Amino acid sequence: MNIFTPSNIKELFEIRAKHSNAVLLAGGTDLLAQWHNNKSHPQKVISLSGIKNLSFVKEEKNYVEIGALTTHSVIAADRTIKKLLPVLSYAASTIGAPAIRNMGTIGGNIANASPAADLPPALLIYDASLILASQSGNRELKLSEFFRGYKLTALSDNEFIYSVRIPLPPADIYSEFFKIGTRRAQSIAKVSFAGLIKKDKKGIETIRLAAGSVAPVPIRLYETERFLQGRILTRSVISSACDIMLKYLKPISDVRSTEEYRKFALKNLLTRFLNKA
Amino acid sequence: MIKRKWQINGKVHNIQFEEESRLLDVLRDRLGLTGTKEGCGEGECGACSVIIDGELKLGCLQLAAVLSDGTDILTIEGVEKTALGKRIQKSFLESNAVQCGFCTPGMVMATYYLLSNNKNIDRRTIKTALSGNLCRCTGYRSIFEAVELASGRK
Repeated sequence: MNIFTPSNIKELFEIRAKHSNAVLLAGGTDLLAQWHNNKSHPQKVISLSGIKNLSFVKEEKNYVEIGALTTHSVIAADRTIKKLLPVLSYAASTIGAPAIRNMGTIGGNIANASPAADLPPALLIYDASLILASQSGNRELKLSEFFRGYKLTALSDNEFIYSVRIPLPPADIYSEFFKIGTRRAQSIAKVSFAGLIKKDKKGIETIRLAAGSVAPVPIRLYETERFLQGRILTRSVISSACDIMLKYLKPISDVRSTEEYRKFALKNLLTRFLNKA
Repeated sequence: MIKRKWQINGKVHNIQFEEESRLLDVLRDRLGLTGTKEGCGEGECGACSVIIDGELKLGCLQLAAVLSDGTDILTIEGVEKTALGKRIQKSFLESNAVQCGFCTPGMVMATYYLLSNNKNIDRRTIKTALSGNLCRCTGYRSIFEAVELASGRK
């Protein structure tokens, strides 16, 4: 294995230009476990952890920006995030256990593009976007457009995730993150769910729903959102919302859970969320 | 081969290792620090817990080459020599918190990390702090009691 350890972004771009097939390594919590299990590792690895200033939380007027190398521990403990983006804060606190949270990063959690990743559902309901940096400049891409298929992303060979930009949610919303795993610590989600809702007198004004481990990528539940938009929540509306959600989902059965269980559990999570809203 | 100069348990070490080595391999095979155990090798069990630059991390998920010169590493062999480490050791003995002993170094590292960073210790914070450590002998209750004892709460 060839390992490159750039100490700044300029060096990273130079190495990236010469070795376009190199794998980017952040905290390593996903990749080293994969290498161990597959008994193989990539030929070329570029470690991002020596690059300074990729770990930060910045509060701007309309959004919060989080550097790609910010760890789950920092995200879970950060006061700004806890206050403005409580669902993200909570989702980060449910990842792994303390040592994993001290290593894993938000950028890695996104780039690894696991359907079971914990942060994406939370980020999806906040309408987060990614700042993707390359030698020719930065581009902003919605997280919902970043995931292209199972473990496939829109990241080009010459790019890396610089930061995550999260617009401030509207005031007076109700939001939640639920995760179902085998146990509370260390588990990879069988199903995860995030929701954000704002109601007024006429019914639901804003609703954003997202789920993990029920599709090849973490997804927004757009059809269900469209159905619920403007409606008053009644038992029959909630039941119809669940039917619509399940109509558009094709979760798989795998080592962690079955298709039936995942559908059943997700239906319960959506119902729980809408009942509490 | 990669060459690094790290501070390990308070002493500077010049070491060489393969590019694909994990910190766990370097500690055990190059330095003979075999207190750090390999359980699952994939970040599930916590047996390889070490403290890197003040943060609890896992030796099996840490690629050694990415740790630059000057990195400060604390392993169970270093913790053993500290006052807090001695207190934890005594509490584990008194609470019968060790059965086969394989998970113990990891449990002690997580306990050391908790007690050196946290003042308000209760059963909940203890459980969270040790949530990444598996004990296949399932002696969790006595381990929690040992941590409480070491924290001075009992």
